Amino acid sequence: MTDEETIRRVLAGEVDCFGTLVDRHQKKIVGMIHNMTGDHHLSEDLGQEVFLAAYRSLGSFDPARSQFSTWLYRIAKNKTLNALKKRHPVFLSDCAEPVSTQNVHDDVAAAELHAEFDLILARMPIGQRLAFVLAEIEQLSYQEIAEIEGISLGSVKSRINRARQRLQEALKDRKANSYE
Amino acid sequence: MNSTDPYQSWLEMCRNVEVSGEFSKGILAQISISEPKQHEPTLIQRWMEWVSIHPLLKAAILIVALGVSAARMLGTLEIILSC
Repeated sequence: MTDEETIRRVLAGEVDCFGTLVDRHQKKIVGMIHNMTGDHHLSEDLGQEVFLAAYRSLGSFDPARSQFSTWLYRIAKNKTLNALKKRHPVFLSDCAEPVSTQNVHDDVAAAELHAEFDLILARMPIGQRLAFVLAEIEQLSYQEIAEIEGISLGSVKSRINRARQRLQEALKDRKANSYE
Repeated sequence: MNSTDPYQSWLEMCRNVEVSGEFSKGILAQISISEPKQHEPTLIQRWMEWVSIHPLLKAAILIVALGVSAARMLGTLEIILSC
């Protein structure tokens, strides 16, 4: 069943079908918020708010204008930016829990580099960080990112390029230091 | 790009965010006490819909509007010329 069909059924009164939409999109939405905030508890709380807001205004979703996932990402972006404005910046490397508990690194150098990448990501301007997370981590198209962020394709490209440059510089510096 | 590339392995790590099993249960528990709002058309949308059902009325409104603006323009022109 497609998202569109599921939405029609929810609006027709089959409320439990909304669970299908949550199961289908929760990982991406929570993941995006997590990578933006660096806070796992906050990402689940905000993720729930995103789905509840989507449910409440499901009747206003227009499949002719965007995909359901793009619409959800747009709600998630607004909730995340509001939450980030309300609190002090959180640096991912300062969090007690790693982004993933699945990958335990034996290689200390790689773990250090990952922590450095986390820090660079957390210190990026919010718009640049969002474009990077959506493009490189969530693997969305530039067109979708432009729709979510409400900016031009050119701005999306330049934000992502600048973000990549920052990370590549960190990688170069690390390599240069290791040769010294 | 290979998996030993630290940049790629970092991206993979970022993609592997775990969502707790309680996540969707919490949402479903909350939505069971509220109903989704049907999309309310805006005033303009309602007006356009109404007008599309009555095309003759649309034409009449357009003629009246054009008549009013023409009369206003003539009035303004008359004032200017009388000065």
